Amino acid sequence: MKIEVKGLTVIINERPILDNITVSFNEGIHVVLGPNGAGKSTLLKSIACLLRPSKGEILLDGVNLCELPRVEISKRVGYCWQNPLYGFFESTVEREIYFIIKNLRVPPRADILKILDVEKFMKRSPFELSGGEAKRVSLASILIANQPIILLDEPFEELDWSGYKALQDLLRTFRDEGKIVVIATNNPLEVEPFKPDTFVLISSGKIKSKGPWSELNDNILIESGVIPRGYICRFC
Amino acid sequence: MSFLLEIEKLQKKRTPFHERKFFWIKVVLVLFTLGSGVLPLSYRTLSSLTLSLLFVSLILIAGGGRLLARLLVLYSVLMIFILPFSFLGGASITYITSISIYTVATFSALTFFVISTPWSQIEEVLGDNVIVYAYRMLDLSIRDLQRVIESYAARGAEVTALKPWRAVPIFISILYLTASVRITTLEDSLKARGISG
Repeated sequence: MKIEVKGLTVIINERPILDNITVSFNEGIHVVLGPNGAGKSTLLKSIACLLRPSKGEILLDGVNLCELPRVEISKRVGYCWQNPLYGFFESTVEREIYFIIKNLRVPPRADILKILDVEKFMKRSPFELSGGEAKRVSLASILIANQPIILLDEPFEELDWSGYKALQDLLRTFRDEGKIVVIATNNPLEVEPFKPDTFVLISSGKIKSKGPWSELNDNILIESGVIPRGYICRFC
Repeated sequence: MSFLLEIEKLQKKRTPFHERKFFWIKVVLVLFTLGSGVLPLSYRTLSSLTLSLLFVSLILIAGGGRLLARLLVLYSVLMIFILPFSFLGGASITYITSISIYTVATFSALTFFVISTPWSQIEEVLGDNVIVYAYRMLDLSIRDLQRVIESYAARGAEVTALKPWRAVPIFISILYLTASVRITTLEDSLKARGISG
């Protein structure tokens, strides 16, 4: 399985957000890095066909993904948005999580609820949750459909230690299962523990660098305005 | 306590009026109250007065006395502004009294319905349909408004009766939040879960 982004250009309000992005993702964990406003979220949304590109295309195993009906896209691509509360609308967490199952008519993946530890919130309103709890619920509300491609926009934001470990375990499981996981973040330290396979560094809508995670160096991160990996270790 | 939190707290109570078997009775009562507006003036005044007393009593029994008091204060402030204009416009005292009582009746009927009907019950009875989703969007907007008001208050910009202009940036924020950020993210989250645009 392979996702190819070919010559993707996104212009919003006459402002280019992404400029001729070409990148491909195979099975494994891939990280899209970049400073605030670099275009990371736009790239993820474009891959999920939530944005109409001004130019370029998204191919899944050679097929134009965005030409498929919405339900078929959502069965293949699980996109989890950045601000969990803004994406909620149901009255209980349970309804919020099972909403996707109802729409896609796919069997729910039960272990997601256990791993993300959201079963205890099921009867509560999603709007009463704390930031970290809401994040877990938003992740569960997508991942329960067990899509082969997972796009996560700043997934570690607001998670506490147990939430972070839970998501880390889940990502490792996804890698073992052969899924394509793409994570957008501005902090490479968040993803360092599970050694991603590749990175794509975006700045001002353009690719500054890409390659295997082992080749990511701090100089290019500093140049692009991203937290360098060696920074925290200065205080160790 | 904010209006929203107070309403949520009341919705979680377990009085007989909160039970599902009363749902349709409440709906009929609310519709009857709204419909009483078409009655001739004298009948309308009498029926509105009776219904107002009924719903005020029901709100008090359901534990909503505090909420009712706050709403009545708001209503009174509003009427202080509206009544002089109505008199100046040539409306009779009988007509204004009738309309005022009718407003209290409909408002208290809706308040009683909202505080005694949990969300889950509305969904359970009506299922997933446009009315339920529209009602939910209204609820989301109120929650957003509450958050914006809190964030302004936290920065010292509390809206008071003496400084109503402070509400202007709040309404601009809420319009932006609801019309732009919230709708865009909600649209994405719905599409990501298989709803076609």
